[in-house]
Amino acid sequence: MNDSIVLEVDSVDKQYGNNKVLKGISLQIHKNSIHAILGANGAGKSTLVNILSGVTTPTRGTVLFQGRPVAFSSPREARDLGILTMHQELDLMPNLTVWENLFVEKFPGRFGLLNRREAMNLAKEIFVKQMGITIPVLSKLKSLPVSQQQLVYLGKMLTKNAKLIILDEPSASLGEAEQEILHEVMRKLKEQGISMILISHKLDEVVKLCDEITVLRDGTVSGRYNHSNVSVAKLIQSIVGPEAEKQTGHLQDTNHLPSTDEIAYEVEGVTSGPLTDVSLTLKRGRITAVTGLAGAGHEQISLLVSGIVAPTTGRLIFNEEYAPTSVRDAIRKGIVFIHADRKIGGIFPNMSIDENIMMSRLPRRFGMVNRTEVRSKTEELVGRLSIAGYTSRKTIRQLSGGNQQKALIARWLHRDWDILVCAEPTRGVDVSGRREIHNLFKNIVRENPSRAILLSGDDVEEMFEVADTIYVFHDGKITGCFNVRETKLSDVQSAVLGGNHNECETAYHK
Amino acid sequence: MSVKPLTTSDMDRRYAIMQWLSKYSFIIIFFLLLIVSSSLSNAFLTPKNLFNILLETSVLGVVSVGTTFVILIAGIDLSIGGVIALSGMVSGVLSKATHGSVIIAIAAALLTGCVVGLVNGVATVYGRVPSFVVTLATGTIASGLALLITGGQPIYNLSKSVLSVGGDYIGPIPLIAIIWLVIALFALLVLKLTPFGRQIYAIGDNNFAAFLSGIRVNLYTILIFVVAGLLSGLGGFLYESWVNVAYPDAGSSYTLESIAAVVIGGTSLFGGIGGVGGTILGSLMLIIFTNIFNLVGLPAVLQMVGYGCLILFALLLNQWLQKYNAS
Repeated sequence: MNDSIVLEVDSVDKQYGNNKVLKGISLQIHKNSIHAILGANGAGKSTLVNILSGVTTPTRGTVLFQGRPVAFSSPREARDLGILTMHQELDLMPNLTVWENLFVEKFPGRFGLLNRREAMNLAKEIFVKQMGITIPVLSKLKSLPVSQQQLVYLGKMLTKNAKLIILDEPSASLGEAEQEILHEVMRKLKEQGISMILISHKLDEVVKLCDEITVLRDGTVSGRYNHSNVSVAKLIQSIVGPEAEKQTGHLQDTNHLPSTDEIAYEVEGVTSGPLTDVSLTLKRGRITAVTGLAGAGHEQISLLVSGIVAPTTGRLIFNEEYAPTSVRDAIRKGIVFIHADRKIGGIFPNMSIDENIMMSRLPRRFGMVNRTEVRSKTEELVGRLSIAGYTSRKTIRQLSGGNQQKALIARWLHRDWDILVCAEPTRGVDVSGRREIHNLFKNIVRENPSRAILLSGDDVEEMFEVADTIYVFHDGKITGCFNVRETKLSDVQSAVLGGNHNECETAYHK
Repeated sequence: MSVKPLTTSDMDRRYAIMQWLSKYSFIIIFFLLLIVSSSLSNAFLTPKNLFNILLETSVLGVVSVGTTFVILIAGIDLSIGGVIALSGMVSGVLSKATHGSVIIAIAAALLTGCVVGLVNGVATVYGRVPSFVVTLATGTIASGLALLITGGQPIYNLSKSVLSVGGDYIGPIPLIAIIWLVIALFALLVLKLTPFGRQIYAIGDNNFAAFLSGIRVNLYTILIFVVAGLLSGLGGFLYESWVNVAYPDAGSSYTLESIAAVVIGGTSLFGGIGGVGGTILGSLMLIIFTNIFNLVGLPAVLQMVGYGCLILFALLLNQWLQKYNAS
């Protein structure tokens, strides 16, 4: 028996009806290691995680945990053995304090009385000694940013004797600095003998952090790497596969844009929320991106431009007039907005894909919805955006995240608009879906150079890949402004981290 | 005979049927109830009894249409009982003052309902108070006003023209049942076919996303409460006209019964799922419960217990059918 292996998956199959989701998956998770599992949406990642965390059982094959075969019939059994999962939605209690959250399942104390001092000491022990962080343990959980709530969740796992922690896209909503803190904590936990499985779409994170990497594609293992022999390029190849690389290859060039200097929208000396005295311009025929660490203020720009919030001071100028101050007004004037969170501000989960797409303007005939037009327009858009898995009977909930996002973009494409504002354009979307969405944006402004697109997001690399101009925000101010074709990614990244400054006026602004 | 393998279109069709069953499980329950009822009593499936059921369902049916709209946008209207009482009293007093005019009686009832509905909608939207609490308050106010108008005295001797609405028949069918079914059918078509209807579902399914899509969420929310108020007002008039008297605590049971009818009819309390078709059957089911109790001669004291049990049973069965078919 090999003591260095915590968890071994041996030729596991999983079948739903006639659909084989996993085909002969084998992998080993070593002690004291961080193991990444990568793959496009639908590659089988979540099914594998569900098997490991006891949500479902394999059709064939075995799972060995600490050398013993296990067959979990519930997530509870996995938890009792020390396999804990951190999902994107954290099941913590927002109105309780940090330390109450830590011990809510089993308070330290005796005779039904709570020993507060012991709880505080234990909390300190966990956060400071084991995780190497400081967290205000007396604060209410909901007053902390998501990044710190995650750390609280990890701390809670440590009270439950965790041996293997599965982290499902923990950094999806984190800025770079926050991500760095999470990585530090993960390294620290690793030193203490806890193994981790990381699910992530951020490949640079995986390359930096993980000791071993397994890539899934179409339910099989398409690549195994370890820390010494991996690169982002290799991972992308493994995830996307040779066919998809060819399909999208010809759309990659962004170098030949018609020259345009026409300004579509101006933000002039605006102070609002976290922003102080910010000015920027959106140009027609261009994709402009605003980025920064989470909370740096770039998020606010998308809300301002799309009329969801009004500036405290300063002016918004669109077509030489005051810009819209309500969402409906903005839409009527030609500014449309896609919310960062599909579930909260995007989809109508129980309605058909057709209606989800057409809801921004339902075609009418004699005062009623024109169903034939709804169908034909939807089918046209589904084809144009290659929304996979569409049938007219399905509700949008039945689509994968990437295809839901495409449907939400499609919602605006059958209307006329001048400016499309999209926050976090591909959050939780797999690599190939991302590429398709990026190319869609590029094609829109190329085919219709009077239009402008504003993207806002924390993912600097993504913004660099898709935008023509990037404004970098730091502490509510613009600290960098880059013409992507004349810039290196590392320059933008260091601006995001607050490193160098870049004089906006001279570089690109006017 | 050889067994044909399932083709994709077969699978698709089977899937569609399952989906349909899960969405319309209340139809199964309704027919189950018809079968059980007719086997319990020979008098059940007689034309006379069936038309009687229609008659007794009418007022509940009308107000439940309004409740359906409200619940579809994830709201609750608890002012129904109060509005029925108040609009009945107002309409009774005013029609007497105008020598029994039926037009005045109807207009007064509708207007009363409208006003309460408008208050409900505006307070819910601009006061940002949950409709549940707002309508509890306005309903209480309406009940109080209903008592105040005549000092608690019922209004008898309503005019012939007022009573004719609740008492007339067209062929064998009660007039108020026709009014109910026309309104329900109209609402059903509005919800299914018009942009307004589809946008109501969108608001109920994801309020914030509807707002970001440019739907007039505030306006429509107010409008829906006005419609609900209007239908409660109409319910108030129909009720006085049917029972031949306007009295200050008329219709108090309709508040919760209409919510029960809507939910048994498959509309989700979380909004966005369901519709008026289910509510029609849901309202009928509630009345059939009492009807069959009467036919089998259950003592009055037991009827209430049985009624509650049947509502609970129908809700659980509905839940179970939806889950079973969805999986």
